[in-house]
This record gives sequence, C-alpha cells and structure tokens, in this order.
Amino acid sequence: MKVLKVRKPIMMETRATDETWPTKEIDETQAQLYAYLADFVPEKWGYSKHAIMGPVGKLLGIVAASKFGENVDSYVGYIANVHDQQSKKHLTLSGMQSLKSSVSNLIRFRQNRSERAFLKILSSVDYGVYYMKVKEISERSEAKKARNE
Amino acid sequence: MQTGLFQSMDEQLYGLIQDFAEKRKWHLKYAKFNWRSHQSLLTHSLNVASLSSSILDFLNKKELTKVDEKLHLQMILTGFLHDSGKESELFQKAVKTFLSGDGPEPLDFGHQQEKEIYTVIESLKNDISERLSTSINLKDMLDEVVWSVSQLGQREDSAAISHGFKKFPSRDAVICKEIVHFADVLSSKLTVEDAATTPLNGSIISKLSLVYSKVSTVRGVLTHFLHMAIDEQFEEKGFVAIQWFPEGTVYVGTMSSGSPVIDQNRLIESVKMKMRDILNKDHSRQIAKAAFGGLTQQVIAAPEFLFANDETVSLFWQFISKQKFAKPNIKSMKELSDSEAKVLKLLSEQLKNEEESSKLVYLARFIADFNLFIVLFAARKQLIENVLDNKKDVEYEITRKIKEIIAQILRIPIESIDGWPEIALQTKTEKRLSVARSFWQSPYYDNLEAWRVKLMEALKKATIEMARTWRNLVPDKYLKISNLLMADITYPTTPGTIVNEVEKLNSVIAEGKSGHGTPTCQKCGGVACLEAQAKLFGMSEIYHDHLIAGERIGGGNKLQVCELCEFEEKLRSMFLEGGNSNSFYVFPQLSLSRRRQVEWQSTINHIEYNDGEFPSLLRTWQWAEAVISDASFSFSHKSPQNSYFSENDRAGAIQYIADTDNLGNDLSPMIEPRLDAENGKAVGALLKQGKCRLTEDYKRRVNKFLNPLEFVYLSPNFLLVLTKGTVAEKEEPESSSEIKWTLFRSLLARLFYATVVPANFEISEKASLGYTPLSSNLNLRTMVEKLNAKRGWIDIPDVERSIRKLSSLILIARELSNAKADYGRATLLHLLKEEPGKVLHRLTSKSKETPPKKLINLLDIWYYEK
Repeated sequence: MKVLKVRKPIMMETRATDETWPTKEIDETQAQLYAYLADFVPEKWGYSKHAIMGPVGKLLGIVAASKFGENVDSYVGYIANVHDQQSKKHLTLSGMQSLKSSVSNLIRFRQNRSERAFLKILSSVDYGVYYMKVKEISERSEAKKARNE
Repeated sequence: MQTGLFQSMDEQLYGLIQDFAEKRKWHLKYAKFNWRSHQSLLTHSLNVASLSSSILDFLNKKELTKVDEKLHLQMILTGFLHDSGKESELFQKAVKTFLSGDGPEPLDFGHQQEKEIYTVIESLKNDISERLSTSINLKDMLDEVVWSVSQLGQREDSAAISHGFKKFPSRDAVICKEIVHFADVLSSKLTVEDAATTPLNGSIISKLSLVYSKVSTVRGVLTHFLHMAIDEQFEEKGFVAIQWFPEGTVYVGTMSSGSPVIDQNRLIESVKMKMRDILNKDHSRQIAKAAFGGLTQQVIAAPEFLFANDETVSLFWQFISKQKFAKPNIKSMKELSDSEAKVLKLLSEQLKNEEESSKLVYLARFIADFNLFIVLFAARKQLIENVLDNKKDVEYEITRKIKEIIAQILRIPIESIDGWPEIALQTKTEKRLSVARSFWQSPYYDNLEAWRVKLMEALKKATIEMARTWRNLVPDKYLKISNLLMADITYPTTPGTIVNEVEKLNSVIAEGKSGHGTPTCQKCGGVACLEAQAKLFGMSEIYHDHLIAGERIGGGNKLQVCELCEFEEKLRSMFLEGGNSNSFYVFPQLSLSRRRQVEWQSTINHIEYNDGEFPSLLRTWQWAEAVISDASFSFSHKSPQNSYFSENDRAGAIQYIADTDNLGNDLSPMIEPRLDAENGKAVGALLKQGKCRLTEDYKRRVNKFLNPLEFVYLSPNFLLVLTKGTVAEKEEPESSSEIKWTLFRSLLARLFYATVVPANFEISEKASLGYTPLSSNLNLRTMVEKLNAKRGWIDIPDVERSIRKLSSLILIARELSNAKADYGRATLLHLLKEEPGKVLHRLTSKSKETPPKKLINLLDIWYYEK
C-alpha cells in the first residue's frame, strides 16, 4: 500500500497578536541598563553606537542568542568580566545591582513573550538605552561649550 | 444688531476679555461636552456674552428695556463669567474622567460658587481698570455680576441660595441673570431647531419670540448665498439674527412678530442677484480664469462665466493670450514632437522658398494661433450645446458671424475660411493646412506684433458676439441654480413647496426608468444629470474617492453629479482662479455669536493679508519652526523682526501682480514715490533699501498672493477655506502629507477657536468632538495614539500640545533630510513607527559630529512629551 507522505505541519505562534506592549517594563529595563552604564568609563571615547553602548550591546546580543539560558548570574558574570577589561572604572555594587535587575527583566521577557515580540523588545531596549546615552553626551557637550564661552 | 451706542467700548472690552480667557487657557478647557459635541470654555463664555448683549440690544431697540452703559457692560461681563467656575482643575479633571467613561457626569450648575467666581473676578478687575476707559464703579458692578452668576439656572446648592438673600438684588442684576441664563441655554443647544424652541420663560424674555431658518445640507459657496438671501427676508420682517449654526440661523423677534413666511419667488430673485453681484461685479477677473478648463480637457469649463458679460470676455482672452500654448515657441528640428514634425512637413510643402529656420518660426506661430482658435471654437461648441431649441439654426448663424468677424478684422477672404475643418484639438494635421493658408493671406501676418493684436481683437469680438447670443437664448444659469437651491430649504417652508419638490422628484424618477435606474449625484445624493469634469472633480483619470472601491473612471463610467454640485465646484474654482486645492470648513463649536463672527472676520484679514509677521499657513515647516523655537508662541499679532517672506518671494509676487495688471516694464504705479522699476526684483530691491513703499492696494494684493488661501465667508454661518496649493512635497504619499494637513487644520482651528474639518468630511454626523478630526488611515495609527485622540479628534485640551508634537515630527523629518539621512518621500510615515534611538542612530551614523541637541529636543517632544 502506498503511504501518503504529508509534510510536517508548520506550527505558528499565536501569542503575538494578543500581546500588549510592556512599555513600563521596557522603560524600567532601559533605566537600569543606563544606570549601569554610569560605571562604564571606556579607555577611549567614541561616538559609534558600539562605543556608546559598551558592554550593554554585548549583553543584549548574548541574551538574544540565549547564551546562558535563563541563568541570570552567568550573564552578569560575563558582562562584569567584559566591563573589567574595557572600563577604567570598576563595577560598583549599585551598578552590579542595576545590571542584575535588568538581566532578570530581560529573562522575564523571554519567558513571557513570543520569540517575535521578545526580539522587538530587545531592539527597543537597545535603542532606548542608546538614546538616553546619546542625550547625556549631547547635554555634556553643550554644557562644556557653554563653559568655554 | 449692534446699536453703535457702545461700539467703541465693546471693541476694547471684547479684546480684553478674550485676552483674559486666552491667558487663563480657557480655550483648552471644557465648557460643554456630550457624546457628539464639545465646546471650549473660551468659545462658550464669549458666545454667551455676545448673545446676551445681542438680546439686550434688541430689547433696547424695541423699547422693551432701557439700556445704559452700566447695564450693557454688566451684561457682557455676566455672560462672560457665567461659567468661570468651570476653569477649576477639579472640574476639568471630572470632565476628562467622565469622557473617558471612568466617572459620572459632572453637575452643570453645582460649581458656580461665589468663592470661585471671586478668584477669577479679582484678576479680571485689574485688567479692566487698567485697559477700559469707563466711569462706572467697577467694584459694585462686579459684585452684582457675582450675584447674577451664582443665581443662574437651578439653584440647587445652598451657598447660592444663601447668597441670594444676603443683599437685595439691583434691577440690572436681575435683568442680567435672566438674559444670561437664557443665552446660556441657547448657546448650549446642538441644533438650530433646538435653539429656536428654547422656552421663553421670565418677565423679560417672555416678550420675545424665536424663529429660525434651516437648510438640509451645507454645500459651500452656494449655501452662503442661500443663507444671505433668507437672512434678508427675515430682517425685512423685523427679525434680527442672533445665533448662527452651519445649517441655519436663529432670529429674535417680539411676541407680535408672528411667524415668518418666505416669499419663494423673491427669494429666488434675491439669490440670483446676490450671485450676479458678487460674481460678475466683484470677481470678474477670477470668473474669466475659471471659465477656462484646459486645452486637453473640456476647454471651456464654465461657459456661463465666460459669457457673463463683455468684460469677462475681454479678461478671458487676456488670460488666454498669456498661456504658454498661446505663445509661439520656436524649437529646433530635434526638439519637435512627431505631430509637430508632421505639421512642419505639410507647411514646408507650401513654403518651399523659405529657409529652415524661418519654416520653424512659421510652425511655432501657426501652432500658437491654432491653439487660440481651438479655444474660440470650444466656446462656440458650448454655446450650441447649451441652447435649448433650434440648435442647427443657431450653429449656422453663429458660425457665419464668427467667420465674418475673422474675415473682416484679419482681412482674410471669407471663401478661404469656408474651407476650414471643424477646429478642435483632435483636428487632423493634414486638415489644419487650410487654416494656415488662410492666415498667410492676411496682410498683417508679416508683422508678428500687428498680427497678434488683430488676432486677439478678432477672437474677442467673435466671443462677444457669442456672449450676446448666449444671453438671448440660453436660460439664465444663476436663475436656474437659484431655483434648484430652493429644495435645500427645510425651514421655513410651506406645504406647497414640499408638494412641488416631491412632484419634481417623482417626475425625474419616472423618466429615469430606462433599465439603468436614476443616477444619483456622487457628492450629495441628489439627481445627477451631468458628467463630472476632471478639472472640477479631481485630475485623476482612473480613480476617484467617490467611486466604489475597485471601480475606475473611463469610457462610459464617469462620475455623475447634479447641477448644484457641479456649479459649486465651478464657484470654488473661480475663487481659486482656476487652480486646484484642498478645501476645509471652519465650523463654530456648537454655534456662533455676533462677536465671534467679528473675530473670525478679523482673523481672516490677518491671515489673508499677513505681511510676513507669521508664516503663510501652507508653509507648515515654518510654522513648526516658530512653534518649537518659541515656547510662548501665542499666535497673537507680533511685530515682525524678520519677515517670514524672503526677498525672492516678495519679488515673485510683485512680478505676478504686475503681469496680471499688464504693467509691462514699468512697475512704478505700484510704489510710492513712483521711482523707476522695470520688474519685481527691482521693486523688491527698492523696498529693501527703504526708498519707497508699495501703495496700499498693491500691498494688500501682494500679501494676499503670498498667503495662498482663499476664505469664502459670505454669510456668518460657516467659513469655507480653499487652499491655492498644497503642503505636500512632490510625489509625497497621501498619508504622509495628511500629517502636515493635520498640523494645518490644527493651526487653523486654534486661530479661529473653532472646529476645522476637511470639506469632504461627513458633516451629516454633525459631531464635533474637539478642534479637528484625525484621519482613520491605518498608516497614521501611531500619530492618533501620540496625539491622544481616542475619539478620533484632537480634543479641546490637546490642541496646543498636538500642534507642538506635529511640529516636532515635521522638523525631525527636515533635520534628517538636511543630513541626507531621511527615508525618502515617506520619511514622516517611517518616523511614526521608528524608535527615537534608531532615528538618532540613523543621523549619527551619517554624520561624524556629536549628536545635535536640536534633534534630541525634537525627539523628546514627539516621543516623550505628555
């Protein structure tokens, strides 16, 4: 008897359509990462996104790739190591706390959201932190200009 | 009517209270709110003040009450302050909670506490004593105002009742209380019939009667004419208009005035005369321009305009002679199109002895002359089509006359003209040759200038002859339109009129049973009897918003419209001098009072003749700059430090006006003292050096040209705004330009303190939930969310915030474009969806400098400002 082969059905996520955008939690995560970046003083300043984001860029990349699954400490440890190698200033306790809270939030996003929504959230956090940092740089540069005048 | 007695005081007083209300942000606060209409505290307070004053003036005129300066002033102030308690944050918050569905409806009368009124009055007292010249004891009068306000309406709170017993009220305070309460009720009504049926309770008010007029639909310019004519009849019968709605007017009379009956024949005559007076006398130049459709469209779009009188004919040919197609355009052999090359080939056979260059001159001259004849014969075609009887005879007669005139003026043998083909754009090339041959027989042809003069004379004379025939044989269009307009009147009307209308409709339906049904007008739903012209109803040949989705215009599938809608479009085109435009209505929030009407007129003058103290409204990016750079940008009239119009703008406008007036190379009549100036640039330079100034008339015309908006405000009921141009960039997507139009409408709404809607907005819903509605286009969903427009409208408290946000968005797009980091034509649409960080990154990745503070500020406003 001839067996009729049927293609394996493609499963689609249905969560995405009824998900609400977690604006508040995203803002919170952004603020935590921004607070952490106060501890990050690079050897050399640059204005590229890569330079401005410092270890946060790295963190978002490894969270997206799920490098350490849902282990918050592993992510924090990894970034703390990167921080030590790149920053002139050591990671403070409050910086560490901000970093940890933000990673916990990111892991929570991964658990509670669809893959599609999670990647969108990560992108939003990424550019949110970038925006806050650039704004800070711009304000500092304006203030410096004003002082020189 | 304004009695004139206190006119100068009124000017001062209304200016003062409007400034006061603006300062306290009353235009951003609710006074009236329900599911279909919202009104700001500023509009409501000024309306009640003005309406109370109008009623008092009427009572004075009819000697029903004696009015002195104190009572007049007190009435306006009581009206203005009657809802002042509503400015409290608590009340406004309660309204917002109610409107969002989270709370109960705030009580309308329970908040006019004496204490709250005093806080407002104390502040107003200072302004009045500083700016108003009056001998009245302000303190005593304002005490009486407080008494009247706290006693208004249902006295359901004990504080008001106890205040009522504290002091014996003066006669003036009692009169103010009664009239202001009545005016408040009138001003709160949603429709004209509701307002006119307000109960007339009270010792003074009961001496009055209210009547109203109403039309079924607001068409635009035509409805203005109708309102004006109805108003005239009411006023003749002793009624005075006191309150205006877009669809109708409320009039006040005395108890003995009875009910007005409209004399339909007189009304028709009146509408006709008004049209004739306004159009033929005041706008003959615009009429002449609007008569022309386009060489490739229906050439004569409005023959009734062209043949209106001899002056329009003359202005029409003046306008046509300046068109590009009417001027010889000498090209090289390579530049010739196929059809031009074909004509040249034919001409060359007749011009064997001529050199190539002179053949090209002959060709260019012939093409231009032939185009002029296309226009002339298109006018003849319209004449014949519109004559009702004996078309053949008329055609023969008028063609003979045209030929005779041409032969006589150009001195061409008439036999040569007899051999001409039917002249039109489609006339075959080989047949055109006979026309060229005739031209060459004229003794004037060798001298280009003399030929053109004679040619224009012939064309003008032939058209005047046609105009004479038109006036004799074609039914008066204005009369016909006036007759049709009568069906729009819904009140007052007689049973006979209704029966007539039903019979007329029945006959149309009976005639229409040909298997295709009765075609209905795509615009108003009336009986359609005309095919829409591209020039009037949109330039697209394939699609129109009024068609069913998926349908296309073409072949036999044309838009069908009724005669009224077609004529309305012609009128709009006339006001725009033939250009294309977007049209908007400015409607009052609920209704309009006499004072607000004066304010509207003054705002119109200010915008139309703006000398550069603020940007032209169509330059939305300049407005955006102004709004963002000056946080206190108050829309009030500021003396210009730097004009928003550049020297080039001004020179271009001067040159255009000079060309319109045929000033040639001598522009000295435009300036005082009359210095030598040969073109717009020279005048501009002289003006800049301060050596002269434009004469008052030319200054107005130049400013009007620089502010390309046309305000049609013939009756006070509503305002039609036509834009000569667009806010959109070239090839910008419609949804992207809609963002700019939203800013444009918001600005207009803010300037007029009124509701601004696009002209195609479904006004039958008669909902006005704020300042302006937002588009339901899905691409613009984020914009609607950002502007907090939950009900699809820019809410009353949000108008300035929305203007600021939209301005920032437009400037972000400009910043990106300046840094060559934009997203192309749809930058604005992209920005709606993009994260601010991404936008910033896009810009910083293009330029290596530190991120611009300006862009960050703008992004902050658009994305984060609450």
